[in-house]
Amino acid sequence: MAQENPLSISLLYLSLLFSFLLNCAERQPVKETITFAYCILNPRYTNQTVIVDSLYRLTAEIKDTAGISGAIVFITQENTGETTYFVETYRRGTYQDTMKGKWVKPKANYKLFVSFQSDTLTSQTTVPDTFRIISPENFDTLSYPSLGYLTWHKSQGAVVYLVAIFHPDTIKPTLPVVTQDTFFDLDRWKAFYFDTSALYIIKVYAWDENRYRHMIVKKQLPDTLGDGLGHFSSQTQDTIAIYIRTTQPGARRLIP
Amino acid sequence: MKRTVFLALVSLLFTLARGAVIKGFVKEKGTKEPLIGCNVYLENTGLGSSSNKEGYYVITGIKEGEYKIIFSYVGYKEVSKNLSVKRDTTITLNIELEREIIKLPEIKVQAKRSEFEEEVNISATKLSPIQLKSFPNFLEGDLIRSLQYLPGVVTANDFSAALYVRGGAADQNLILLDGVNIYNPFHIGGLFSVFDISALQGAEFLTGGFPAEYGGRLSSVLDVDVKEGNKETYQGKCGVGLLSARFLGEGPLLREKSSFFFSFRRTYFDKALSLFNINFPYYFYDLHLKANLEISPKTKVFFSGFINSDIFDFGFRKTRIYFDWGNRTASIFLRHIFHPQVFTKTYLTFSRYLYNIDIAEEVIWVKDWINEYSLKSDGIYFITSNNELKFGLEGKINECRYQTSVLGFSLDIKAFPRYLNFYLSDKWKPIQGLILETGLRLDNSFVPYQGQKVTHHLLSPRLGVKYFILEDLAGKIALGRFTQFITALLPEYQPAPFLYVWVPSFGPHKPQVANHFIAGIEKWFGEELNLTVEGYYKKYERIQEYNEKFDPLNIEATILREGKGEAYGFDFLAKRELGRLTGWLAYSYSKVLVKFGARSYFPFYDRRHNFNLVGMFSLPKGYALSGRFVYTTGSPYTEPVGHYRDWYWGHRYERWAFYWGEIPGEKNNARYPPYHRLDLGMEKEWRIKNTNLIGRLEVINVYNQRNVLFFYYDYEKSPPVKKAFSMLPIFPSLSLEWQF
Repeated sequence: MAQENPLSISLLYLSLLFSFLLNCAERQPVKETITFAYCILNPRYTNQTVIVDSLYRLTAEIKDTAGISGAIVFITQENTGETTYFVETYRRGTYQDTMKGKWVKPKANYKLFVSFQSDTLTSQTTVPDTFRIISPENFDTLSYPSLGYLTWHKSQGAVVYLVAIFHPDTIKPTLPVVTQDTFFDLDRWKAFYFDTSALYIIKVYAWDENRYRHMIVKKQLPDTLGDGLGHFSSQTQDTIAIYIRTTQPGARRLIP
Repeated sequence: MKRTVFLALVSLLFTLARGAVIKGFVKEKGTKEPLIGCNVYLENTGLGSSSNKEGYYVITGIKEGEYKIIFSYVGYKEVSKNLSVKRDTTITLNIELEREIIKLPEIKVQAKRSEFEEEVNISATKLSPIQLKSFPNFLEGDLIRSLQYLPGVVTANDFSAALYVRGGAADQNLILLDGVNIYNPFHIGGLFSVFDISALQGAEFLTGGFPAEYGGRLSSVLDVDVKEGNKETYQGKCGVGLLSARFLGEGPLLREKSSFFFSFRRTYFDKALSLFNINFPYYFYDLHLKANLEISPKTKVFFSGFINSDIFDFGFRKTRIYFDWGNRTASIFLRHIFHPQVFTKTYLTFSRYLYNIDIAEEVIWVKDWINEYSLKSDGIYFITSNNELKFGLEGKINECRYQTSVLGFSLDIKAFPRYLNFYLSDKWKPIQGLILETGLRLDNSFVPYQGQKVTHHLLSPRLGVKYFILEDLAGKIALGRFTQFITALLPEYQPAPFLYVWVPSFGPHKPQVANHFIAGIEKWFGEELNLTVEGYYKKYERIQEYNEKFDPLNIEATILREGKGEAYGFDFLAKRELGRLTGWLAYSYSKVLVKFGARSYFPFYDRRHNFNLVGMFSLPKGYALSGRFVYTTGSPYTEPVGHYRDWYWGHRYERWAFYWGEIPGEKNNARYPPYHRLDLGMEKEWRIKNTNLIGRLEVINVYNQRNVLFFYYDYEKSPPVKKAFSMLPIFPSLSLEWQF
């Protein structure tokens, strides 16, 4: 407990730093009836999700009424004209397609339509190409002090890559790294990410421009959904698990 | 030919001062420290002067005859001498004044009264060490916090010592330490300033309409001088407070020719908390060093250095989180008296403000610094007793740099502006009861932009007038144009801004400009009570602030946003400096409106009503009581008008999640509740052999008022519940100081 105060202070300062560096978006004044949507297409998934939501008054009670129900949602592949309709799930405001297979294709252009009452939202994205992590290989064991580099193939159409490393201790927050390179120096950042001997999950995401703008630059494209609150974007990903052996005693290796 | 003309001009100037001259230095007896602002006058003649920062004074234009010369200074015994003055002679009279044994409340205020008669002093407060110590403290004696009690000064909150003067932003204050620019004078999150009162010789605070010798900032000037050091004996002082310990030392290097002074202060709560198994690895320290050598009666050289740092070095698991920030200054300055009537000071200075952030051994890092290299010369020519001409020249180079790498993104902002400044300022008493202070300043900046050197020349006229309507009543007017070539990139509202990123007005941006119009009256009621009312109007022709939507690929053109603004209001001050009960009542009305783009709004430092009541009461047997009550209108803030679920993709579990985001309303569309607080203190001084022991007990926020720092919403509740985060609760503190 005694160590949490300094951390929270550092996170506060860090957040101030982020706000300086990453051009915090200045939200537009509220339009009470505004509708916005979120969707990230990912060829890896069978079902894609669209979330349709709105603004709320500070005085509004919204326990079970959050989310927009009854919206018309579909996605069209621009060059083929194929249209995929979405239906609302048991979660209010959450829509999923009814396709039975993976239908999002790498490098394809898609356009999203969301219609609710008088609001119509449209936006489009180009899905980055799929790619593979080259090294280390899945389930490799790496030992201190030399962990080497994480490398991956270039993804056509990707603006940046996000590297997320997950500690086996699930309550430890992860701090993803965004890079335009196709490598990541594990040695340089090992003290930060790999502080104990354990199995770590590494995910690398390739982001399209919409996702990059929404998450990092916070500058919206003109047709981005809902006055910059929502976004329609796409990403592809690859995942590996690696065992890190540090000088510190660590967790038991669960997977051979 | 040119030389002949020059010599003829110089001769002509000196012949303007016909009659005899009395000049010399005023110093403190026992230490030989110069006394700044000591009043020196010839009784019943109307001739007089006051000592400058070096303790130097000159009275010119004296006719042959018998005179009584009087030296008068707050907290010191008055000294008078009879002189026989012969025609056209120069008399050197160095005087040492002895401290009054009695406490401050009982001292004579003749000196202050004389200052009223001799100086224009518009929006100016001069503070001697004794006066500085008389301010109520908060944990630490602090110069900048003390200034917050004065009219025209607004603060952000309990956690920030930043000053907002008459509608000016925090970066519009020029802060000089021994003539060196200090770019960020704060410790912790701005909770304390870097100036330890015990180390100071004096300070002058100008809240507007300042003379031409000061430039480069739009709103105010704080000119601080560190002690020179005792030239006769070695002295020391130890102090232990709730937060920090300090040690001061001074003494002669060469008896009566040279002395040194140093002070060191360090917080120790990092060590103290560790005793309770609480890990808070933060500390700050500051170190003043000063030495001087009198080469001849006319020439003296000074060396001054200052270092302060705040360090936060924390390890979380194997991750090191490191912050440090602070100032480094060094200066050499030469004081030379070319002629009894020409006094000059030449400075070679270096100032650096820097901060570093390093998380996980440069996984995330920031390096920011501003360096200043300056060569300047200031002079005073005492033409006659009624006319003083000040002149100066300064060449300056800045190096501004901000580098960072955060999560794979890097940013590099750099600028190397150069400046060349001149000024002339004249104080003239053309007739009895009228003082005119005119000035002209020329600031030139040269900033490279897109391969070209962009040059700006700005002329700043200044005028100050004081007219004595009655013997005890004077009217004052000040007008002036002020320029600023540098801006601190501070997000719109940080509770405690301390990490300043300074950039010049570069790219397509021109320097910032403001015009001041000030008018007021000053009235003395006998020797006890002084009343001042000043109204002001400040027009900001061009101001700049940090543009959060800057383009990283075109930083120079986009990182600053230009706007306009105006501020107006009035300050009222009633001050009593005589008797057992002393103190003042200050009230300020202030309205500030700024406009950036199409949007006009009241900035967060627009606090309309500011009321301060400060009192000190001395009791027998070394006891003294002090108290301060403050009431201010709440700061503007932006109240959200709605909220929404900000959805994000969770990478660990690969599913959607959300946190609540807020939709802000119009900029600064609401105000926090009014702020008020009462602080009380008690001091007791014990004399133990030849040393003094002083104990202080202070209670901050006596009635535990929950002043609001900011509001936030608890979105776990539906509808959301508005909650407040409060400023300081009731807070007692105890400190001891041992002087030996």
